[in-house]
Amino acid sequence: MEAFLARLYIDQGFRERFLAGTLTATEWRGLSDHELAALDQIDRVGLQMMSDSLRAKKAGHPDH
Amino acid sequence: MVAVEGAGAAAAEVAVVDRADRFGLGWRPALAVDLYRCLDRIDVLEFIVDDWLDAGAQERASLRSWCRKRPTHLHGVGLGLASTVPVDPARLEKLARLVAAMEPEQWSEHLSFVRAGGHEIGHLAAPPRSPASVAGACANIERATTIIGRTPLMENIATLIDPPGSTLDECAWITAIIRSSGAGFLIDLHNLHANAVNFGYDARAALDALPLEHAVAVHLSGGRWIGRVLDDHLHDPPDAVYDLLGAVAERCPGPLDVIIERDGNYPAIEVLCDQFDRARACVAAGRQRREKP
Repeated sequence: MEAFLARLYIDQGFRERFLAGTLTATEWRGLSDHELAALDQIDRVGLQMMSDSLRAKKAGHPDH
Repeated sequence: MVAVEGAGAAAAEVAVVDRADRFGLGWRPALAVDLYRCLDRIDVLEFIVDDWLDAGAQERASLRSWCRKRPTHLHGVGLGLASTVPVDPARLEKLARLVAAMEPEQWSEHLSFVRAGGHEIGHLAAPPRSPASVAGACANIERATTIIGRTPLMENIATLIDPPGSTLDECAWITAIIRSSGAGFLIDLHNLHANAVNFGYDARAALDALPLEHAVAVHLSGGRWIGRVLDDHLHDPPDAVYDLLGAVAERCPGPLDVIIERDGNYPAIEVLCDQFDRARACVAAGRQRREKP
């Protein structure tokens, strides 16, 4: 789950495919039913803010 | 008045201060000259340890000099101890060499993960709060303690997203890790405030569910509103954070090191010193309430 979240936060293409529901079965591999259900209910606003914050930080704008 | 623990041969050169409660700042390069000028107002300093891991001899000598001027905390951001993934021993050994050389009074890290599955997040992220991540964090804290030779303080983090897959609330998760691992608790009050606002709980009520009996240090900082509270360290601590500080002092049995973190948009050093003078007043009021409820 941590690996999935880490990629979700930093990989824009992965995140867009996740939000569009087009990830492949291989990309979902290793997640439990509980984790899959949790990801189905993910806070999409928070996810976008988190990824925007990480992108700003990488661009040199401290924000933590 | 007590001697500084763990300072070894450097103890004689560390200024002895009132150990009841202490107040200070996070050292940043842009603040260094002004910090030196205002050192008489500062009890304790904190350094971001990751900035010094690859430092050359001259920079390390500079850090060592600061560590001998005031009691020091070395504060890490890159280990990712709150994870089901075992922490990299090479990172710990590198940190251990720096801690051994600098002899800080404390070292600290965050209750966060920062990488997994080959993906470097580049920031602090909240893992799913579950028994598995409690166990992973405790195992990593034990690994770190073994290699570094002393137990860290562990800090609660701010998050913009409620970590999916959680089965424990934030306070229960933090408490389980702190009490099970034996780590000291570094409570960041702006992180607590931000999460409380962002996820709809009462920060002051949350204090009663946190392991304040293990609290050793406090962070104060500020942030901005982006639709949620972003903990950016670029703004002054809000009034709510000072209110929480008084409440923490009222509840905590032990002495606290209260440290203001500022990462940019720096005001004059006198303004920062005034902020920890305000913090002193809040702690004093909280201590009075503790003695005379």
